[in-house]
Amino acid sequence: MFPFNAEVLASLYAQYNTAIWPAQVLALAAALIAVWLTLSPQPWSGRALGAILALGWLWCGAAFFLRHMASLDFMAQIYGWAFIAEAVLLLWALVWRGGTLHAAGGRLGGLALALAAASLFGLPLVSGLAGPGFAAAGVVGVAPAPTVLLTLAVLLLMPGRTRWLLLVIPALWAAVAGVTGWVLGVPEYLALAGLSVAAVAGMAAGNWRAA
Amino acid sequence: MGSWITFNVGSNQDLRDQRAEVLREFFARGGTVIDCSPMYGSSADVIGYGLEKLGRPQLFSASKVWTWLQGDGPEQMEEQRAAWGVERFDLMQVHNLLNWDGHLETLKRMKDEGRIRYLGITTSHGSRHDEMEAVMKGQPLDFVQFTYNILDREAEARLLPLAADRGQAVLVNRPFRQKALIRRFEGQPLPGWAAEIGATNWAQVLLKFIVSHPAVTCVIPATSRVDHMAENMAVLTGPLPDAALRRRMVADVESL
Repeated sequence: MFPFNAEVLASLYAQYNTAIWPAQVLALAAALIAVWLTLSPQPWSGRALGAILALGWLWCGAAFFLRHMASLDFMAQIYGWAFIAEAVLLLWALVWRGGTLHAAGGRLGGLALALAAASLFGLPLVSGLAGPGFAAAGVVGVAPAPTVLLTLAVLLLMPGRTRWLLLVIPALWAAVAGVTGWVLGVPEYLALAGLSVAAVAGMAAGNWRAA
Repeated sequence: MGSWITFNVGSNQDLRDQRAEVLREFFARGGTVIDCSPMYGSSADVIGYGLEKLGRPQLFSASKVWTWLQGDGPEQMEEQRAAWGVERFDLMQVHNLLNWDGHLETLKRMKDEGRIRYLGITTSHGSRHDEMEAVMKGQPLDFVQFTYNILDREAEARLLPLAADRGQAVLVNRPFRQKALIRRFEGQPLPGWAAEIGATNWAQVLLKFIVSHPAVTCVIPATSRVDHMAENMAVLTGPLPDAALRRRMVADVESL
């Protein structure tokens, strides 16, 4: 099914991290700003969050999948363009249309913050402690798994139907990651799949209550 | 030997050097046929690296064309050839029958021009045997490649006899169902008849079953380990099972 094994995937992540250093620092700083914007909403929070997330998806699509992963996996082209498409959707929904977010209160807000924390620190910890090590850990904004998770956290706080459109690509990639994690034994991907289920369930529950 | 997954190690230098040692063992024990595909990621680059490191040993190079568009085929094949660093491929196959009619047209022309020696088609996992059979009957193929192993024996019914009738060489893929058969049997003691064919492990039992079929030309197991390559290549020596023992092998293995 997959044309590579877990050892090679870890090696690719480690080489990628070395190649893009210190982009991780900037990406992590941007993600922290995104979390701050959800905790202290400003009138322009939606636009700023949309721009930050879109940049992360664009980077993951172009730099990670199309430039690095494509040498290993014929599916990387599809993933890469899907990530770029999600960047465009985020720009359209949050920046162009000026999307707003709910305040990060209540259970959904707590879940969103927990997922955001997991995207920043949880998934790298899983990778470092239970996976191939910190050198191969994905960093939010420049690696797909934590970027998907941070996006799901933001979508939890987003009102209206547009969030379901924005959910399609992250959910599909989380499913792909889950299968990859299961078949190859990649703890970070398995954790993403599990947390994504929680995020989608949270969105569905929030939608049901709103209705 | 095959290269699916096992040689797709990207640019990791340690892994590339280790795979070059796998190749060294392959050639040292008399191996010649190496099979690859553009679907296998960096495998072509890693094979090329290994061949260069080993001083360009004599080999039978086999790769594939795998693209929907006939017009993209020549460029893809040229990329593979450059990655391997060979003057020309001995065998070029249409991968998984993808746009086989268009690509076979290209391959026939390349063969006429001397840019490849042989042409063929492939499938795997036992799929699309009807279409495979039709192409084998209707096209001037030199080689065919499909899945055949001690538990997946659908090819015995039509494809293997047809290949023999039409003089088409047969490459067999997925001899171990990508390790699944090894894992399934490795906890079982080797049957008594294994010693009769000089097999000292299950991999050799499985490979000897395949290569002892009269219509099979070559089996292409893939491995990333030097010791496993040595085990696989040991099948080139020693006795092979006859028809009676092959039937017994099937019965015994299916009962496990």
